Amino acid sequence: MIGNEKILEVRDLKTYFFTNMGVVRAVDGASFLLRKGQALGIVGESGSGKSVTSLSILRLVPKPAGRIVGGEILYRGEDLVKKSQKEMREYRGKRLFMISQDPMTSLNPVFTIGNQIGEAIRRRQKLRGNDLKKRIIKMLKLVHIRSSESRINAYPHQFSGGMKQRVMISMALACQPEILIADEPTTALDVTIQAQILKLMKEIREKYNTSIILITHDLGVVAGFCDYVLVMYAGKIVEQADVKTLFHGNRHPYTRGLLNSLPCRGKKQRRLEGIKGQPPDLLNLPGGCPFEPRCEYSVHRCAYEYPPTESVGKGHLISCWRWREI
Amino acid sequence: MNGETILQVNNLKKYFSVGKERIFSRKARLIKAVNGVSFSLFKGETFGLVGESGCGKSTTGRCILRLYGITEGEILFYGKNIDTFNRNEKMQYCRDVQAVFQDPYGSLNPRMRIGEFIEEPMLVHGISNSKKRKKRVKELLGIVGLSADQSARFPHEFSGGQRQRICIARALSLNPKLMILDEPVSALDVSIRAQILNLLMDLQEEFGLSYLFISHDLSVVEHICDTVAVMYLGKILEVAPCEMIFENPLHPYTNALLSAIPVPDPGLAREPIILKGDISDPRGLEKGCLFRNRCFNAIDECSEYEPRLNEIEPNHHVACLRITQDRKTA
Repeated sequence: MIGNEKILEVRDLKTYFFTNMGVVRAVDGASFLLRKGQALGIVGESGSGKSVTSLSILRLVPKPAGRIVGGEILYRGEDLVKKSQKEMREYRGKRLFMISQDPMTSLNPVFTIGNQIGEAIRRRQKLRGNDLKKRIIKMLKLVHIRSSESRINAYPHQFSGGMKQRVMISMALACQPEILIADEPTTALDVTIQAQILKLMKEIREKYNTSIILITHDLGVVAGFCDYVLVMYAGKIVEQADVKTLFHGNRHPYTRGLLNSLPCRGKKQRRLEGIKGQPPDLLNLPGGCPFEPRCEYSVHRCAYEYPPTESVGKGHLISCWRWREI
Repeated sequence: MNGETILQVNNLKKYFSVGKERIFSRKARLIKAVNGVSFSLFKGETFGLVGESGCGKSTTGRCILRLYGITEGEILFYGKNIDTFNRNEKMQYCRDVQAVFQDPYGSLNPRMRIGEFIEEPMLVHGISNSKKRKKRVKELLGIVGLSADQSARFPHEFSGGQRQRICIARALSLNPKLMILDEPVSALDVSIRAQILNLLMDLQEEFGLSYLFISHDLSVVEHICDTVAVMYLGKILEVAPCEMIFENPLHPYTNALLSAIPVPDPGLAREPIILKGDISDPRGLEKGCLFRNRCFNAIDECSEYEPRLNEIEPNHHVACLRITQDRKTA
């Protein structure tokens, strides 16, 4: 159920990394909106800034190189950029929850699964002893882990990748956050396990009306899961639209190129169209549109001026000088 | 495709021993990574091995590359068992069979200029003189779409896609007949993946190469392969020409795998068949079908009899009791 209630509004977010080699503009002016119960997808290739966007929302940008240099992240009207780390702790886990790509690194190897889920539960409720244990078992059952009574004493290394990811989801369930940020949650998993995890996330969304930000490079996952999609390239959101428009009415050459790079089921074509050229070097971005060197529609102007974000249709925003002709 | 068999694998088995069955017991615990795999690969064909992690697809590739000794079975290259090769034949085999691996970051030596890296196989095999080799390196760089003046650079100066091109150039340097491609595009971004797949297909056409394409990504496999074998826990469950597998999959596992591929079209989103559990520990599943504990179609007999690959339709082999039974009654 997507309401009209705005949960999160990101305005002109800029997160830069100051390295010895120069400044990397990992996120450079991203603006978007997340509504209650919405599943927002962020797609892009490696280095496009999709993960840094999510880390910025949680204020977990790696220090000291990374810094949010501008913009606002409004969570229910409160600007998260201005919060101190101590204040942020109230938001992380309780209201914003993140599931990362590699579940092994997000679980502590020296504590049992039960212990770690218990910790998440205690952030919400004061439970102890048997009550807590019962609750942990219930949480594990919710994410379909069998023989959960004995599993609570297991350590993360005794779980497979898919099971660890489910433990992470059960922790998210325990915290009942308003926003669940999933950063490539299924990339390290096999397709059949991916299907299980995505189904589980859908169930959560329907049950608790959680807003989800799903970060992925897999357009197939986006098509099946999200309502609204942002396409990022070199730190900029080049196109955003609802999922149907993005797949069938896209206007940006990069979005189109991405979709053409996918081998299509059932259609056996000899060659994939793809996108020519190499991914951009974030240290030496061209002055204008970062996609210009690889774009087949580029004109003189593209190399010097970054196009403004224009509205094409309802909820369909695009940054391209030539979208009218595409 | 002229139907000449270039590689034939017969009942290949590769067991790894990991520790002991119990402390103090003498019996080693065995992981049956590949457990009786047979297939043949024809000249100019792309044979796809697909399956989830841990199904033994990479181990099969590595056995063919002679990186692992095999436990049982035989691998025939142009009709000759590769285990009976003498020294010269072994060297020739190394030249004829080359590999490209998944991780283009791990497979390049960071301290070697890429020109040297591409030249190295020719050096090892003592091919021609330095000048000719250098010329060949430049030629190879051109073939894979890099410029010849990049040969003095180091790997860190290249992106993932370019590195994979360098690996392909090195593999091509000895004019191989067969290439083992072990997840060659899995580590690459979508737009770059398309470029590398196009390159691989062009090279196959130009040099008449045969590919053994190992991947977990079914949409890529559908795009590039002629014949596909689906593996699960060391066994092949279904083999058929590519179109047949994708249009008319018979084995329940293949069906589940195919339904789990996310389709990049919101209008076509289907409900995937959700399999129970993970690709499991094969212990305790010695008898009968290995897939039965996750199968939505399993019956009691599945734990009694081990299914064999049966030809259900011409060229379409399936290892499933239920399918075989259905066909018999029909």
